[in-house]
Amino acid sequence: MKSKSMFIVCLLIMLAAALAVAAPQDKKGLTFSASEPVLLTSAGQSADSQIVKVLLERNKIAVKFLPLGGPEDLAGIKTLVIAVGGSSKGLGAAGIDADKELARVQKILDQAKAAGIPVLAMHVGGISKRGELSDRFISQVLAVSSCLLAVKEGDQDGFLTQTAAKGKVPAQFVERISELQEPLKSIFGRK
Amino acid sequence: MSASCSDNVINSHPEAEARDLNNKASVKIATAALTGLLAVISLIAPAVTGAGGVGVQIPAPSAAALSIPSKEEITLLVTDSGLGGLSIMAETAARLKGAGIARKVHLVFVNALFSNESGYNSLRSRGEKSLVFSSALRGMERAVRPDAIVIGCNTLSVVYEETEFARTTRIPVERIIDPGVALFRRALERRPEAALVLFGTETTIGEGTHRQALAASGIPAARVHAKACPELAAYIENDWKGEEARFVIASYVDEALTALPQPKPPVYAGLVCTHYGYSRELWEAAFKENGVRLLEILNPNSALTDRLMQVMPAGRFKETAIDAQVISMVEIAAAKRKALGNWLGGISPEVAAALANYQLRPDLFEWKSLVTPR
Repeated sequence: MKSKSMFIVCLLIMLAAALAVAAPQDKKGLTFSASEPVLLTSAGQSADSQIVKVLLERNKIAVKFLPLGGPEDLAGIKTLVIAVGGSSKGLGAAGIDADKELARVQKILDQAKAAGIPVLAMHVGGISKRGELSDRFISQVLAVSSCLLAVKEGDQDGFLTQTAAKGKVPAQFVERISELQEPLKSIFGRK
Repeated sequence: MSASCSDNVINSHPEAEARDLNNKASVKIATAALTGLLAVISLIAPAVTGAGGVGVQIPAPSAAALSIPSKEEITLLVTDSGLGGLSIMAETAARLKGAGIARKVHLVFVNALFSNESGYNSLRSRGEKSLVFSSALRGMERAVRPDAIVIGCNTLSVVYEETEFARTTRIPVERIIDPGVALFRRALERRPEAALVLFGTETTIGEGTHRQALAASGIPAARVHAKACPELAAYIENDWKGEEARFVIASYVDEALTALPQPKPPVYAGLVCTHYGYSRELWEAAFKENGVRLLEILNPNSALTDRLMQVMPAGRFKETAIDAQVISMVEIAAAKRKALGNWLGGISPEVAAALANYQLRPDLFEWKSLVTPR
């Protein structure tokens, strides 16, 4: 009887350990690290890029902010940070449509890859930045990203997790936008 | 008077701004010519200005335009692109109860937004904006039959004068621009060392109407700065005290204050979008984080309500019964209604209830045939 109980306890401990190893999300201590200066651009033209800018600046990370940046803007840059989130209003205000934005983003991603510049994707808009428009940009950017930081609310259907896993992109999810500061500090060596 | 609106404007989309420079140059030349003509006229003709100074003036609808008929029951229509103007309607509802201007006032808010996927700031040109807004006003007139219209929206107020509706309507219309300009002018005259930073939508800031009016009233252009805040109204509507609004406001405030000359003067923050006042505490926090001395947040919403109370014939009745209604051509999400309802309920339970039970009218006005698809 005693050995049966011990066996069940050991089984439970092994199961817990296996689950901890298998779960890629919310993993504390991403192995991804990056250098400055950073070029911050948008994929989708939502004002979420303003949120990412504040997160970077508050942690004194040197950032050049160009929502409509192009490949030529990567000169001298060590990391490309992309705030992913589609906004019809943002696209309209910028005078472009979704296809032109996808083309612009693709050019900068291609140049980053050619220059060996890692891409950090950030999705901070939660559920409001999910849907047909945003998901196109998410798929595009995560296909070539080195890391994803995101607010959990935007992943209720697992799309971000699955897309990141498909590209073998390490990902960290947080409950609130302000909690993204810790992984950013870790990535840029501010800890 | 300077005809240039581009001084002291801090851009969030410098690349997009560069593409428009050539087109705007010819507009500025025409504006300069018109301004010069107005200056000559003002020297040879007596003028009463709604902006508080004699001299070159921006044509102002002002108090004379809003003449509420002396009826026992009045219908007052408030419009905005989005829900910022509801705060004006709520304050008006609260103050009308004891004003005695009529036995009953029907307050009707009509959302002039034509699509949740777009907005007036996303339209290609000024011409499209005025066409769509004119169509919206005609639809509102048919649906509501108002005695007066209040444009509780800075973006639509700057577009209004160009609409066909403005040229032909007999309904008195009040815009938020004039009370806002008067509020800013009084503050800047009180504190000659202070600067004013206007925060508004791309259209409001790009048109430069407030800056032109302040310059016309004698405020030096160097004291007035402007910052366009793309999409901020949408974040505030979704959650006026949430993290997203907090970070976006912090970003725009930081950009605006970084652009001020050194040494940084004490600052008035002028909120020239009727949505922005919902998040007053977030604006205060953003200024505090930047370490710049904020003298006051100036919100024209209350100034507009003050103006309405001044021009309406008060004291005719012991009290005024109020009912409120909200009409929208686009869906207003339940979460938005709840978030803003909490804010509005503190001022006017009638307006909060009207928002909760808003009427969806998808065919309120035509717009698709008036815009060029992207």
